Amino acid sequence: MARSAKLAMTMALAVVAVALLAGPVHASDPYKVGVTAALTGPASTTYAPMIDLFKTYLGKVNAEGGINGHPIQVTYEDDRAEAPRAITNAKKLLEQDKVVLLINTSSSATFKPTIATAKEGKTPLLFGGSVCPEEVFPPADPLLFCSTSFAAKLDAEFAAHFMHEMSGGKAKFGLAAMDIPISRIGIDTAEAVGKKLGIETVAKVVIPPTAVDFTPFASKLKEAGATWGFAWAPWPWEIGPYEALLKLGWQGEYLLYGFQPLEATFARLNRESLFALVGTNLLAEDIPEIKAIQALAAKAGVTRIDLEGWVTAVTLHEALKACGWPCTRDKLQTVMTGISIDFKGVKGGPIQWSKDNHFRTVQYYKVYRWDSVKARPVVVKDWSRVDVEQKLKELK
Amino acid sequence: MALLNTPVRRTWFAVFVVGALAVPFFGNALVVDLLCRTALAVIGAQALNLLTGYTGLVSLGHAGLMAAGAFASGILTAELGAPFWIALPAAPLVGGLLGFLVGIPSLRLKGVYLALSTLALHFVILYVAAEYQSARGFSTGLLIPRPTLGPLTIAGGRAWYYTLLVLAAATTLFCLNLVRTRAGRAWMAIRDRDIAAATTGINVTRYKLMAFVVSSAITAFGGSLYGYYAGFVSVEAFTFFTAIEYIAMITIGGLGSVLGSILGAAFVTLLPYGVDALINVLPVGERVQSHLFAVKFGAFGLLMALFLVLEPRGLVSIWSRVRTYFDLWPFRYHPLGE
Amino acid sequence: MQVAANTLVLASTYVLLAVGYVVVYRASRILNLAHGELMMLGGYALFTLLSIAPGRPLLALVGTVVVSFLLGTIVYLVVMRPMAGHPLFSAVLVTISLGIFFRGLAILGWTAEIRYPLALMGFGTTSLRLPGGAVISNIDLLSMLAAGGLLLGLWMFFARSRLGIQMRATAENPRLAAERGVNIHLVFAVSWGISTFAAGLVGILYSSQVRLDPEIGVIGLKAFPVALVGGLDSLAGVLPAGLAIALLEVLAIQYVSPLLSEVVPFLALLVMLCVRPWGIFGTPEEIERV
Repeated sequence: MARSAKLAMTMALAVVAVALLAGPVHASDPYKVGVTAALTGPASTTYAPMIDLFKTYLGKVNAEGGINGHPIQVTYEDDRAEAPRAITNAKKLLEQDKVVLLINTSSSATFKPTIATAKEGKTPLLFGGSVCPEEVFPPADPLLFCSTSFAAKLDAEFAAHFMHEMSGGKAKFGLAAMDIPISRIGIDTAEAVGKKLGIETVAKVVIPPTAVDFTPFASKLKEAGATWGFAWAPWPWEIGPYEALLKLGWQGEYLLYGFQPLEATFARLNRESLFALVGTNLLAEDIPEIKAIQALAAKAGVTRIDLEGWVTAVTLHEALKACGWPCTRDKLQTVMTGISIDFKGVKGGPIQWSKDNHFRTVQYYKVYRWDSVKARPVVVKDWSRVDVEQKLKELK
Repeated sequence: MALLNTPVRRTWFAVFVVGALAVPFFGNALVVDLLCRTALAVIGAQALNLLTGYTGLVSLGHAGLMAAGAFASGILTAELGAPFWIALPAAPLVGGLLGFLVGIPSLRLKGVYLALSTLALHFVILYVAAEYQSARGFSTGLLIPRPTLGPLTIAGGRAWYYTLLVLAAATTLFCLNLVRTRAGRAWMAIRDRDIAAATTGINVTRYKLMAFVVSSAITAFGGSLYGYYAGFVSVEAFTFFTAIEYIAMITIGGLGSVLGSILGAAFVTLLPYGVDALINVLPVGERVQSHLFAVKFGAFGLLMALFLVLEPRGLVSIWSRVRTYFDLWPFRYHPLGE
Repeated sequence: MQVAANTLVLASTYVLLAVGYVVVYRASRILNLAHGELMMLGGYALFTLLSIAPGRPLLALVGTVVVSFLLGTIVYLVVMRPMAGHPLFSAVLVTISLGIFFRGLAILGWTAEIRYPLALMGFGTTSLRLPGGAVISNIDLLSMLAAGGLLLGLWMFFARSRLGIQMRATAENPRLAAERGVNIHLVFAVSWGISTFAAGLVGILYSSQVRLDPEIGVIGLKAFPVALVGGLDSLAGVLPAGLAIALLEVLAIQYVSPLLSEVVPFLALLVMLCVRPWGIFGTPEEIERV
């Protein structure tokens, strides 16, 4: 065969190969969404698993025909929890990929730049899995929304009340935080609320990110005579002091926010003094939707199921469904402002946004502890409603 | 115009200027943003190069000094409501002062010990900044409004691009001239053998301190600009890794070379995105997609390591080899008698 | 008493990490800033071996330290040996880049999930009561034994064994040693191997006591001032420096401010740099070039 013909054939084959390998071509126009997340880097242990489940859920949605007959196309960008990368990611997603919604699943270091870019591009920004920034609370910024189940101040406030209740008003608080502003704000709120309830905080430890050994910090809490420990921080800094306290033979009780590694930790530690405050049901609960999520994750090979990823995905699904087709940034923003999202029993209740409140009008909390006899988590306090706007007024 | 002393240089410079000015009209927002960040990096790299490349004083406190500049402007703007033309110059003043303070104990130290005292400075500055940030309730950072100078406001990609381009060029010019003065020569003498420099009458103490002050002032200026560009200031934006990035910039570019700092700044800032783009072109299936980010992250480290192993004298040496090749072409070596 | 116990435990981790920095520095004058990441890889080696051979923790432990040792020699032969003669500055940067590479590798190989190898071994942490009311865990005790054992072992190795004496000679004057017939590349490779062996020990202990994830390497940076305060080229200095800094840290947490504990090692370093830059037992030299 002539050389030029061979060359042409090779090139044609290459083109076909690339086209085939590049994946199926969608027949109808997709919804375009952008995600900037901490997929590698220091915060990835917290946020990367959320994205795994998020992707899996959206894959299922697409397999079932998409939303309003259109597939959803998500572009993921890794920001490594670094502000400069977050700016670049946001700019790229907005201006190059022309997404209709931006999602942030990363640490608070990336918030301000992502917010600034979203506002400049007049694109709605959903914080899904990242801690809710103050701008989504009343009076909410029109473009910013948050579906994350946890929020430092409200969690701490609820926790303080819970510990007060459980101890009959006689608790002595020992608080632990990580050296990031949002964590410190959380325990400062717990201290202030405790004080209002007449409870003394005997020790407060702020643990640096490079802590080698949690024992000295736990010692401080123990020596101060704390009877109830509370921590609100990334998971390793919540559980670290508790494990050290156990080692020291501390006999008190410990409450923390139950992030994803909670259930494995409950089983591993097998202790009844650990209480966890959660915003979503545990996987151990016999709820059909949770069983479905677990089956889906197993099929997709996702080993670490972080329900916050699912919550974000469902929020996105509902928002786009309500937006209809075609969906523009303005229309989506309007739709999201009044939306109510149902989570089929996974959370205590729906997320309802209003014009001023893009966090939710009602927050639901549940408290679990481990039962070593039954060898599973049991409910200590079932779903409790917290009126967000009223609470925020109290906390001011 | 002694810097552009040949027609060839002048022509290429003109081409470069035209190209640089035209970029915002042809490139998309991402490219403009990356170039803005490169310009900011150039300013920081030039400052560090003066201290480490020309004077031989290793400094790991770069990120801390940038933070100091950013916070100085940020606090003045957010808390005291100072206008732009006060807040911005305050940054180099604060930086210079810190440079002086850290310079004094560093006069006795060399090499790795000096590097560590500057690292200690980094941690101390960040600790103070973090305490300030929590105490004043700025959990995610201080918001900085757009800089205004009278009727002009710097906002939007294009405006920032030109502003930063001009500032980076000005800094480069400043550094180029500085190293050609007495101070610059003194610094190079100190770097090469400071005992010999002292015996030739150079006041080593004075010039070392000057190096610290000038370098820190420019660094803080760069940090403050970064705060304005990003629109916010937070201690989380200035990590030890940032300091490492700047050291990498001047090393990969070529220590002790102004051009090297520019090349290094561009390389380190753009490499992650280059790696991203390259890997994105490769066709991969859905399952592997999730691993891509780890691959990109690891690839960055690997490429940097490879580059340093294969070309430890930096990009500038590649550049001068390329230039020599073209200069001498079609010969391979300088002919005898030249 | 608890303060004393906490100090000893923290000091043992610092000592184990600092030994790694010192051994590499003595041999090749390089600051291995990827030490923390090598420790992290040691932890993952343990995890992988335990996953492959579930019922045999002892085998996994032995395998981990062997793998760690080999990893160090490979890093030296592949990456650091070609850097010989090049500016030390670049060599240090290479180690930093390697650290980034290792972190990416860890996420690629094991995802960002937090792992607990101790659970895989079938053990849990048990508390041991010491006389005086202090409490430590079994892993803490192992930590202290490991630190003490390593220092003792290295001392004997360097003082008595042929290779150890050769290594000391090479550290003092590489050219002369090479001219006398010492295989300096073997010496350097073994030094790096010893350094990562120590890192592997810390990896095992830390991931059993606390957790294992791709980011635990950051504690390596905390131990760096310990190596410096003791004297970068002095193994004897590691113990007093480790104890002193650990004590300061524990006291700071208990009586001053827990947050201050992060800067305590660097403050100690600053003081040392003003008073005696080359450390407690370091050789008084001022490095002319980095």
